[in-house]
Amino acid sequence: MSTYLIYAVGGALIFSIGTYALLAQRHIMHKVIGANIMGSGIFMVLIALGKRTPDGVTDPVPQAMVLTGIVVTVALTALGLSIAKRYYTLTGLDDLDQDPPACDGR
Amino acid sequence: MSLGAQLPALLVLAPLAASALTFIAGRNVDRYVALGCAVVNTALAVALAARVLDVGAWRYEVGGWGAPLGIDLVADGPAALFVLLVAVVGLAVTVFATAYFHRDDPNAYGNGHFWTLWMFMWTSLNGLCLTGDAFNVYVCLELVGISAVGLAALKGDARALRAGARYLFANMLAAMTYLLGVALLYSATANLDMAMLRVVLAEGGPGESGAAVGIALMVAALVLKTALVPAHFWLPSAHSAAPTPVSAALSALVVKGTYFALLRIVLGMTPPGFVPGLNVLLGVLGAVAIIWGSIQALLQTRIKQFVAYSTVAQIGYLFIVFPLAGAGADVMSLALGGVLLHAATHGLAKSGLFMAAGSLMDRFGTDDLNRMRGAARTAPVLTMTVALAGVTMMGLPPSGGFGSKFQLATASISTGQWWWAVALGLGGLLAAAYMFRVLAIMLSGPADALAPADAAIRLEWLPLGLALAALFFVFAAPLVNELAAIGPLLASGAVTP
Repeated sequence: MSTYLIYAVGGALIFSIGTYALLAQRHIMHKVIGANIMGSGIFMVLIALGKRTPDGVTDPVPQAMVLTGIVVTVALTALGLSIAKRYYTLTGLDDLDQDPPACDGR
Repeated sequence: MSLGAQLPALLVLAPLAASALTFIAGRNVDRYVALGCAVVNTALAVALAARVLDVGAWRYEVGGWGAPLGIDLVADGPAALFVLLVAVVGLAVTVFATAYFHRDDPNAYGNGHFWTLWMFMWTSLNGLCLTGDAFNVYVCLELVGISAVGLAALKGDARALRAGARYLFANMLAAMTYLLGVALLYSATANLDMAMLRVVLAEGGPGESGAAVGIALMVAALVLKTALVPAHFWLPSAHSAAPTPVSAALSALVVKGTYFALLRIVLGMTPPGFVPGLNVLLGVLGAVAIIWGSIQALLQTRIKQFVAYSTVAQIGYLFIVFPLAGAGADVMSLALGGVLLHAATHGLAKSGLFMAAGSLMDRFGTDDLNRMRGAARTAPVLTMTVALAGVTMMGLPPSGGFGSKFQLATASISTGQWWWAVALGLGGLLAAAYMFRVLAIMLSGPADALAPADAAIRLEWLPLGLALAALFFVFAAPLVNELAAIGPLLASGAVTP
């Protein structure tokens, strides 16, 4: 088994773990972390696939995609954390499935 | 290179500059910067459509690099139509928002960040419509998503934050899934440019199954972002918890932007039948969305939830084009013209409907539909807007909704797939049911108490204008069909550099 394949399969596994966390966890922080784990899995897949070239020279395009992906993930995470913090301050809840106490219905 | 050829880049740069300017401009000026940019943008969008009609589609190489190394923007007919739709509805939303967000209100939502986020969303929507690169679609999708979540949560209360967080998590799931799809597609083809990918995929080869899985993941992500049933769970709360101008923009434009990316990928990039069963599955989900969304709209008691579920239903119509792919150029041009017509009509009618619904909500001081009795007497223009938008939702002539359903039904029947026409007809009947139910409440008396009109209400002619535009949009059908035929979405229309 070649090295890149180990990384690609490992990345796919990490992606699945993150997807599970994002969907099944109820705590907002756990969901944000789950999305980040998904991202890490994809980045591993991308870096591994960049190595799979006929002449053995690493393809730089997947690495550029990883860099862009990291930037996007950072932005999504920052937005998620600030929403979570504000939601917790307002309602004292860390779980989106519970109804907030003072929801006025509008 | 002439100035006209630079239009795709200008359409991204102008709102981006306005976004930065509104951020540094003071609270008194930012709305005028946004308004100015909205006018400039609309002029640019009209110029783009005129040039596409004049010289045909062209590719713009960003920075002069050119595909496959660089990123190309593709100015074709459908893209020009969507950019124009974003511009017209965007201009209306901007004008509406200047009255909705009071300058002297200390609690104005987000301390005026609406303008920055809104201009940024406009930037990314234009980018999403114009890009011809599969990875650039990912970036634009995320920019749309981040600004849309910020706008949806703008009120900052518990309900808006909860809806915003759900919206964000749906976006995160879609983002990561799309990225994984692009990764697999790139590893199979070593290409990201959609026009080149079409050629590579049509040739086939050893990486074919990997590419098919990648495309399936990308499509799944876009289906989640477009809120096609059963991935619509985030839409009603996010669209109804947002401030009214944002609801209008989200419902009329954002789901259209992601849908357009789907059109480019499924029809423009993927050869028919490359991913087995994909197109039929999309059509079936579309038909289910029409029925399910309409039934849900029939059951809602809150006015904005009602309008949001009607969006879920109307999105379904847009997916009837996919199972007809590969049925021949005549059928496809009819069907593609039909969905583009539907997207444009729905964008106009739904933005008008959301503005009217939000104004009704503010004036009655409640979002409970059953407490809006007698609205026809106390708020006649708003009720008229709801009724006219309803005519479009039902698809009665001469609305654009009629033209689009007629074209889609004709295309389905001519390929022998008559069952799609049944779904279209059933959707029209259900739309009549949910619109008449709401109108029955509004036309009945005795009238419920009504707050006096404030600045936003003085703009009640604006939603009426949008609804009227949608009502007579069938007369624009020849133009829409002409634009639909220019470009790579139909196999015949190749794009020359």
